Amino acid sequence: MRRRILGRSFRNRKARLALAMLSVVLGASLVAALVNLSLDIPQKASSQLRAYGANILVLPAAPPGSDVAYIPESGLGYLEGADLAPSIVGYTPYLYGQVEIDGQRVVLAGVRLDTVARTSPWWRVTGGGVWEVGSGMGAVVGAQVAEKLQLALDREFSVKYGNNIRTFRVAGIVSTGAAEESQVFVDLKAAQELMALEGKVGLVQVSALTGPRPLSQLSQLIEQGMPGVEARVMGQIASAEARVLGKVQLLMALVAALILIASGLVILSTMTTTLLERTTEIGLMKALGASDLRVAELFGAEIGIIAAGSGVVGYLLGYMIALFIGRQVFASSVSPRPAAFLVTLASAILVTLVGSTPPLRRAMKIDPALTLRGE
Amino acid sequence: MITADLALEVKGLTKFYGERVCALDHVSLSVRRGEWIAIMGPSGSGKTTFLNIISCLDRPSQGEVLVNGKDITRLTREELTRFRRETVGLVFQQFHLIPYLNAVENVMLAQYFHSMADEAEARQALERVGLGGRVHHLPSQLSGGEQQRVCLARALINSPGLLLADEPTGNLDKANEDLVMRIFQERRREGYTIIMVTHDPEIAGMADRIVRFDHGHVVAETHNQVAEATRA
Ligand SMILES: Nc1ncnc2c1ncn2[C@@H]1O[C@H](COP(=O)(O)OP(=O)(O)O)[C@@H](O)[C@H]1O
Ligand SMILES: [Mg+2]
Repeated sequence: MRRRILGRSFRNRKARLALAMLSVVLGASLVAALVNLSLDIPQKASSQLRAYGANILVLPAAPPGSDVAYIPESGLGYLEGADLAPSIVGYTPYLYGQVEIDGQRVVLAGVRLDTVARTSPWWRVTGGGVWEVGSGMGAVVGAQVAEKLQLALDREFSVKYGNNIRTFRVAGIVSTGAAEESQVFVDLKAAQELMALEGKVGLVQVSALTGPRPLSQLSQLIEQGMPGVEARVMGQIASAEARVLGKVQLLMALVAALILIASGLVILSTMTTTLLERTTEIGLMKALGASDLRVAELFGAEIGIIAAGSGVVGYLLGYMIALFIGRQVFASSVSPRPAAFLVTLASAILVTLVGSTPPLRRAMKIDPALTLRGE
Repeated sequence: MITADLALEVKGLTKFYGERVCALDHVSLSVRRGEWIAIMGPSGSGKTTFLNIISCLDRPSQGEVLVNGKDITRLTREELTRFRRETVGLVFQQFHLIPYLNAVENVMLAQYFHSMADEAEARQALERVGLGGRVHHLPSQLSGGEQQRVCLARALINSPGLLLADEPTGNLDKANEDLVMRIFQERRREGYTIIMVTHDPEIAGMADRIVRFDHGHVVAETHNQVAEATRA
């Protein structure tokens, strides 16, 4: 019978219930979007940094030109050690030198060709894949250099450094839109031999996740673990992202709070109207012997349906908002989070309860004798 | 005090609304089980107030009210509600049916508040008041007389023993009035105690006793020999 009364009562009032629900749905959806983004984006943004490449630059502490302006290659093992795990995604040592090719001065960089892709993922290399790492002969030539010196794929060319000369073969041509296009990249070992700087590197580019530890802390650790180096955070992109996220979160939290308050007021007014409309009905029910529990039940069911319905609908809507913001602002997809659902449902229930409590209390106090007097 | 055969015993019943309005002023009245009382009197004389108090809807300011021998003046609000649903059937001038529930559901509502809804029984109750063909009609689809009969079926569904009616035919035409009054007469024959407020002398004539109210006092009590004789 309860279900029958409630069913009839709902059908009788569906427009009003829908309106009340809509208002809570709006608030709840913002909460859902907010929580989903807050939980998901920092992690995504952090792994996205990998796509942006290196964010810590390790340099010799002494000024360039001095004898100690190099980092011993043997010290790089620290970057793979337990101290820094799991923050470090990858690193690439660089050894730069000015060389001559066909009489032209060109910057040559010795790198580990197998890891450079990890720290510089934006490199677009044509003919790549034949990086001839083993032979030490392969070279990746910047697009501008390739054009100026007419270095086509597979062409061999000789490189002069002081009195040393070494022959390389074009294994790939790299376009980056930046300084790399006027440089030539060869295997670190070959560059060290050419420049007679065995076991030395000039700088190291490090890609680190920002999730586990802040970058500033990482750079301190690196400086402690590798004496004679300076570790610089290059994370402009990272901190800008974090600031945008923080602002979006703050804005959404404010809007969500305001909308939740507004939904609470809508619930309050809807339930108060309901109460006024149903004063006679409630008085009658009490006159027919309905206990307080039975009266509360009638309102409680509506409250429950509004709360649960708008919690669920609000979450779905909010997830879509989160997806949209994730895509537009952070170029990242957002995974649904159970915690976000619980928080959304809880806030929908809270708002509905708070908004319904005053009218519910008034309903309890309705005096059947007064309401039935009519006239 | 022997009250076993009394459905109602009221002594010195006084009801104030606020400081000034004295709706009932030391009213005393006893009603035997199975008796039919008609309450008459001008508007504002306290008839509805009296019914509200003996139906446990309202509380007296002073005095003693025993319904079926139980003093209801000391009951808590919850106890009053429980006592009312066990003991009293109410019929109103304005019918007071729930507009979105159909006839049989309106009757079932009283069952639900009392204990458990039973559709078959509720349908039977409607058949007994001649509405077997109207069980699924909404109140808005029923005539005034039909609505009042639904109201009667609802008042009687839990066999309360005491039937209280406040001008039950006040909004009805003559034909419907006759139909409704026939139901009251049948219930009286079954042993129900009936207390009915009415303005209609003809209806009052069906009662065993007519009690006149004026300005919150009982000003006259008339025994109706004809009715009593018919009953005996
Ligand atoms: N809730 C109330 N507050 C104040 N005065 C009331 C209230 N209910 C009834 N009265 C007054 O009490 C008196 C008796 O009213 P009522 O019992 O309704 O009379 P009747 O039913 O005989 O017309 C009237 O003067 C009425 O105005
Ligand atoms: Mg009245």
